[in-house]
Amino acid sequence: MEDYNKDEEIEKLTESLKHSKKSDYEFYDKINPVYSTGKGLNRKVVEEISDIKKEPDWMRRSRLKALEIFLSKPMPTWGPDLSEINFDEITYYTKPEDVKAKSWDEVPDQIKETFNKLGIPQMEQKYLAGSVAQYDSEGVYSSLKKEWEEKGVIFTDLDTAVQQYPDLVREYYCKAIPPSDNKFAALNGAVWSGGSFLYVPKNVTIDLPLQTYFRLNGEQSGQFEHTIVIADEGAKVHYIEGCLPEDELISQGDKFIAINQLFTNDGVISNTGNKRKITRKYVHPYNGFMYNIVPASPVNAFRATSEHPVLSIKREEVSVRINNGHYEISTEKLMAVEPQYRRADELNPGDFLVYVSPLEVQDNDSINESMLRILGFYTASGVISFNRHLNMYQMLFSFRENENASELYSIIKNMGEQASIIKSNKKYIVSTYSKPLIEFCIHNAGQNSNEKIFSETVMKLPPEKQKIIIDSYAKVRGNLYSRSYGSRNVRISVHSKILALQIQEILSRSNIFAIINLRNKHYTIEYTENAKFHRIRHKNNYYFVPIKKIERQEYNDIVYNLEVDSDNSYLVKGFAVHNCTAPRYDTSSLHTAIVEIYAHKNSNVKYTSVQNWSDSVYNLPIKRAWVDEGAHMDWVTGELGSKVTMIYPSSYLRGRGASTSNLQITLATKGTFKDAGGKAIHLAPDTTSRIVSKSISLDDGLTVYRGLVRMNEGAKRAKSHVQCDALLINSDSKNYTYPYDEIYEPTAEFSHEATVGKIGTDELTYLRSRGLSEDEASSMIVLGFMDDIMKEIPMEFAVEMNRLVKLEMSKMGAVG
Amino acid sequence: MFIYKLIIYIIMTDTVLEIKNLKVSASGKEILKGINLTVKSGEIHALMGPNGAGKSTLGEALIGHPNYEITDGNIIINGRDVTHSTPEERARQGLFLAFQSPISIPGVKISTFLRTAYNDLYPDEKLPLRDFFNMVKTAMKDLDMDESFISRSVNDGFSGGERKRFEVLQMVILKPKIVILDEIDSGLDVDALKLVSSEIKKLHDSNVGFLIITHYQRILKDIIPEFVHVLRDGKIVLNGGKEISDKIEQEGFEWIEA
Repeated sequence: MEDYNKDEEIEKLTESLKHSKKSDYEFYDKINPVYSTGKGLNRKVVEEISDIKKEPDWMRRSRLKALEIFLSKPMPTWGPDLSEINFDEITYYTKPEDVKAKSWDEVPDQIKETFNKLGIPQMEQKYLAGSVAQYDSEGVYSSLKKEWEEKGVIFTDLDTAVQQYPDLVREYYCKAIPPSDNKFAALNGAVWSGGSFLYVPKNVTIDLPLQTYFRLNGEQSGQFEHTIVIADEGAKVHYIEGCLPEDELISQGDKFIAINQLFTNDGVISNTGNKRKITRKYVHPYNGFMYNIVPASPVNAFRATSEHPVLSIKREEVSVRINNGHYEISTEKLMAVEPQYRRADELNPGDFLVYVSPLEVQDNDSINESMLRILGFYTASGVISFNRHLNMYQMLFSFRENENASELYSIIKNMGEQASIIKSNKKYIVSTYSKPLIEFCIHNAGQNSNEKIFSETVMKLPPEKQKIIIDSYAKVRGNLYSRSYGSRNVRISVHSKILALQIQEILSRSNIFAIINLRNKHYTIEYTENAKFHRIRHKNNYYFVPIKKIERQEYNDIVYNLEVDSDNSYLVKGFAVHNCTAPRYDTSSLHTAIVEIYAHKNSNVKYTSVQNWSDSVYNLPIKRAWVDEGAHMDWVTGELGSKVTMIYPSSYLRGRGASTSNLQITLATKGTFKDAGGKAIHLAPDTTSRIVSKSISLDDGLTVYRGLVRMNEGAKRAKSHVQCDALLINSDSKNYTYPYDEIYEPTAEFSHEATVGKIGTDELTYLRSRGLSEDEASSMIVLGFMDDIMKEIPMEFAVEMNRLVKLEMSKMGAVG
Repeated sequence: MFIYKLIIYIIMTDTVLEIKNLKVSASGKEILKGINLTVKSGEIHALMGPNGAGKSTLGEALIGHPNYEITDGNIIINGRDVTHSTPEERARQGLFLAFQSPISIPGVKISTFLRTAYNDLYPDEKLPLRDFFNMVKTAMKDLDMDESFISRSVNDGFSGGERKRFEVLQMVILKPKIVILDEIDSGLDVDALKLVSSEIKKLHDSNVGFLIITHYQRILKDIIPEFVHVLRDGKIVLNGGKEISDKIEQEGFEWIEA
C-alpha cells in the first residue's frame, strides 16, 4: 500500500487545528475592507483612485485634467447610438487588493495565518490567494522572465510601472492618445486601472508571443485598462491581448474541461444529468465580489460571481429543532424539498449544493470483467514502455503485495494472453506484451503514467462495470477500514485532479458520494461502502452536499458564462449552476481600454486582440501606434461579441519607410452593431499601409467599415491598399462602408477595393450538388470568406468563431 | 479492400435516370420544351447541339439548380421522383454534374470540402481520415495533379484546365452512379484529355452511366457513345448512334431539321 504516514500526520494536524477554532468561516471578515469608489464619476472619485494607488502628483493631475475634458466633451453622435450608457451607474474603481499577490511569499501574513488556521494545504492556499493561473504557468514563466529581465525587458502592469519606472512611463503615457483626442480617451485617462506596460530594449527579440496569461499581477483585464507597448530600436515583439487564464472545470460527462476551452456546440452535462449543447459562450468584464464555494468535498470548490444562480437548498428549509434547542437536518425534509437556483451571495455555510450524477449509459459488450480489472490495476500502477531489444511495447505493473500481482497474473493468463511475474527490490512486477491489452489500456486510461484519465467509453459504461475498475484500483492504491454494520471506509489516492473527479463521478453512479481532499499534491478520495447511514443524502441522481465554507474576494477580471440548450444549466466540478440569462450589467457594462504602441526605428510590433464580450457590453477601445523610420506595425483584431463595438486601430507612419498591416474581422449577430475600421496616417516618404477588413452580418446585425487613409504632402511614394469585404447572411443583415481617403501627395499610390456580397446561389448549388446540406454549404462559404484572417487569430477564438457561425447558420434555416 | 467492396456494390446495382417530358424555364422564358431521355448504368449517351440549344440548362436543371424552374414533366431516379428534390438529395441518389464553368469559392479548402461531401454521401462508411486522403492522393496521381492541390480553395485562381480536372477528381472520389459531363473537354490539352478519358472509361467499366454534353466531337474520339441525341431549340430533334456524331463532325448541325 502507499505510504500515507506523512499525509496522516498532516491530516491529524489540520483536524486538530479545525477543532481548536470555533468558527471556520470568519476569515474574510478579518481582511482589510476593500475600497470601492461607488457609483458615478466626479473629481472626488478620481482623486480617491489616485490616492488609493498612491500615485505621483503628475499622474494625479493628468487624471483630473482628463476628467475635465471628459465632462466638457459631448457624446459622439456620428456612429452607433451610445445614449444608453449611463455614466452615473458605473462603478469606476474597486480595489482588488487580495487578488494582486505576486507570489505566495508576498501574500500578507494575516491572510497566510488565516489559511493556516483553517488548515488549508499550501497549494490550495495559493489557489485561494488568486494566483492559480500563475501557479500553473510559474515554471514556464519564471525561466522566461529571468531571460527577459537579463535583456532589460520590462513586463508588468501599468500601475506597478507608474511606481517603479515613473520616468519611462511619463515619457510615453498618453502621448499617442491624449485625453483631448475624444470623450472615451478622456474617460480612460481619468479612471484607468490595470493594463500592461511592456518595454523591449534595443535589438531585443521576444520570440514567444507575450500574452496577458503570463502576467503575474492580478488586474489582467478590466473595464478601463491602459496598455503601453514600447519597442525600442530594432526590437521585435508580438503581444496577444485576450488570452485568458484557466478557469473552472465543467462536467462533460466523460471528462472535465476548463470553461475557457469549451466552445459553442460542445456538449456539457446539465442539472438533469443529461448532455446538452452549449449555444453560446459569454465573456464579460466583472468587477465585484467572487465567491469561492467550498463543499464538504473541498476539491470540488468552485468560484461564482455574486449574482450567479447556484442550485441549492437552504439549511433553514430542512432543519428541525431537537430537544436541547439545537437544530438538526431532517432527512425527510431534505428529500421533500425541490432545490432552487439562488444567487451565490445568498448562500451560507451549511446550505446544500446539488451534485449531479450524469445519466448517460452506453454499454460496450467487448469489454468484459477481466479487462475491467486489468484496467483498474493499470490505472493504479501500470506503465507502458518500449522494449528496444524485442522491438515491442510492454506493459508493466508494480505491486507491493504478492496478492495483487498474482491476481493480475492469473487474470491475464486466463484470457489466454502472455504474462510473466518477477520479484525485484521487494516489489512484484507483472509484465505482458499482449498487444490487445496494451492498446485497450492506453485507449481507456491514457499512456502518461501520472496523468491517467478514463476514456469516454469507460465513463459511459454501466455503473456495475465501472465499479469493477474502481475496486481493482482501490486494491492497489487504497486503504480499507472495516466498520461496524458491515460497512467499510475506503480511502484511495490519485495523482491528478481530473482522474479524482472522474472516480467521484463513477462512484456517484453506484450510489456513493466520495469526498476528495488535496494533501501534499495528492488527491485522496474517501467513501463508505454498504453504509447504513450516509453523510451525504441523495435522491435519484442528485446528491445534497453541504457547503463547508464560503470565501469572498474582490475580483476585477474576465468571467465566463455558458448558455446551455434545454435545461439552462451546467455543472461546475459536478455541481449544478444556472446559466445566466440576464447578466446584472445590462445597462452599464462599458469597456473603454487604451492601447498605445511606440514602434521605434526598425522595430517590429504585432498586436493581436480578439474579444467575445456578451451582448450587453459597449466595447469602445482606442488603439494607436506611432511607427518610426523603417519600423513595422501589425494589427490583428477580431470582434466577435458585444452589443456595440467602435474600434479603429490606427498607425501613424512617422518615419521614412515605416509600414503597417491591419487585419480585422468583425461579426455582428442579432441586435448588435459593429463599427470598425483601420486608420493609416502617412506622414513620411516611402511609407506603406495595407488594411484588410472582413465583416459578417447575421440576422439583423449591422457592420460598418469606417476607415481612414491620409497621405500628407511630402509622403512621397507612399502606398496604401484598402480592401473591405462584407458578407450579408440574411435579408435584413446590413453593412455600410465609409472609407475616408485624404490624399495630399501627388506621388502617392492608393487603391481601395470593397465588396458586399450575399451567399450566392451558384456557390451554394455547387456545394449542395456534391451532397452537402444547405447549412453545411452556407457555413462553409462563410468560413471560407473569413479564412485568410482566421489564420491570424489565436486558436481559441478561431474555434469559437467557427462554431458560432455554424450554429447561427443552422438556426437560420433558409438562407437568402 | 474497401474499393473492391464498392466496385462489387456498383456492379450489382443498376441505376436509371428517366427524364420525362421535361419543360424548364429561366426568368420566365421557356428553355427546354419537353425533353424525353433515359440513361441507365453502363450506358454512354452524348447530347449534342449548337450553342444556345439548352444543353447546359438540362444539366443544371437535372441537379436542381434553383435558377431554373421546372414547369412540367418529371425527373426520376430509380423510380423515385426527384423533380422537386434539393440538389443534395439528388446527389445522394447518385447523380453528379461536372459543371461547364465551375464556380470559385474562395477560402473553402478542397480537403475539407471533399471530406464533408464524402461523409454526407456515405454516412455509414466512417472512413478514417488517413484512408480517405490516401484514396484522394491516388486519384490525384491518376489525373497527374500535384499533392499541394488539396490545400487550395475550391476553383479559386484555377486555370480552365485545372477546373475541369478538379471536376473529374470529384467524380472519381464521390463515386456517382449517373454522371453528366458538361463540355468536359473544353480547356483541356491533349495529354489532360487522355487522362480524363481514361478516368471516364474506368468508371464506365464499373457500371456508371454517362450523359456527355458536348458541342464538339473531341471527347467522343476517346469515349465512344452508344446513343447520340441532338438538342435544338429546347427539343431533342434526333436520336441515333455514333453515325450521327460522325456526321456532325463532318457537316455541322445545319443538316438537322429543327
